[in-house]
Amino acid sequence: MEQRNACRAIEMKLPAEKDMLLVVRLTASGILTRCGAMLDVMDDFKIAVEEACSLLIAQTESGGELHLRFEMAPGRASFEAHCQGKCVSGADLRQQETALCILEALVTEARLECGDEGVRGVYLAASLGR
Amino acid sequence: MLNTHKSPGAEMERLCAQYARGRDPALRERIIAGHLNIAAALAARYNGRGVEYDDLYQVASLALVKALDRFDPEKGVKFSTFATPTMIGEIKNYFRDRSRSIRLPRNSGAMLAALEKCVDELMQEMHRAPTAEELARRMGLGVEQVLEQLEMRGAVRPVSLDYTSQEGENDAPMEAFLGFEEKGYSEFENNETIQSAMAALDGQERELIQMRYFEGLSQRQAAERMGVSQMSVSRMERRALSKMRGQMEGTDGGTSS
Repeated sequence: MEQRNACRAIEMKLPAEKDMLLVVRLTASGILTRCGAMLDVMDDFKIAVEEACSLLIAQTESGGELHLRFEMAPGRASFEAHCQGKCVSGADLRQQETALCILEALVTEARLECGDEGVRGVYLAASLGR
Repeated sequence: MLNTHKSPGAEMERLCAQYARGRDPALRERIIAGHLNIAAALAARYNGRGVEYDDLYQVASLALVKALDRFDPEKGVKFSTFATPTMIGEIKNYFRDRSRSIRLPRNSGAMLAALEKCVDELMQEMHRAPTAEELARRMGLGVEQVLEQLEMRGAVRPVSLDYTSQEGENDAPMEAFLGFEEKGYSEFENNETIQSAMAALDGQERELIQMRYFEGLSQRQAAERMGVSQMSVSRMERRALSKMRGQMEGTDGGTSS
């Protein structure tokens, strides 16, 4: 855990594998609880985090790594994910657009970091205001 | 970080605007078909929580149709942006409306029921969803226990026998992992028993049982083939079955011929 700009952050490195999605989801659940998020916000955030990681895993060849960062700030939680590893060939634009559409519907802010090979990073932020 | 990748949905948005003006049914079908990938992706994302993928896909697809009927391009929002929250909302409502359909161990079931009741109460009191901490406080539990129960909510609904985990290429449906009674053994045993019981019959009786129970002939057809009356066949059959029953029970059930 690291202190940065009054934010508290948690960073994780995980194998870019589908089996790890449960770990990510439970982590998100724990962190949002620490932030005092309402259950419906927490539920949406967990789905968004899972969608983001699934997108990155689908575009990374086996043996790759997911670098995740959760940040807790007053009234706001954010999540950043990047893929380290070789990209599978051929970016699926339709899949990216669908994912972005879902992410935007679930959280306050969603951005994809796109390279020539496809999506290499995702940023999500949820407002926790009541 | 950019959202400015080339959009394959731009053409679809143009069609949506065109549909809003003319309400052409053919265009409607095309737009719906063009957005079913979102319904599929959402169904996949909410899958594994106790509701079958097909049901979720259907709920999302219906929401998509409803969203298109309500869509107004004048509001300046893309159709996909408008339809996705509608689909998510419908899926969540579907989960909310479904009651638990299998029994949990007493403690877990009771705690989960109490938790769901508590969520409802707090929502009514606060006019918003409670936090895990608020729930824990109200229930007198630890936050971790509440989180465990929340995660368990997805595990209390039965999985279809047709469900495949889709984790690997060789996955078989759940049904394939269930044990079953090997019919071959009982068929073999029955065959042996019947053969031995038939040994107690005379030639004509054996022929009759063969026709009636192995060839599926009616009493009338058997009577015709044997050149006797149906009444005679009926009596002979009763006598033969009695002999066989006696043989199977280890006693001589044969009566006068």
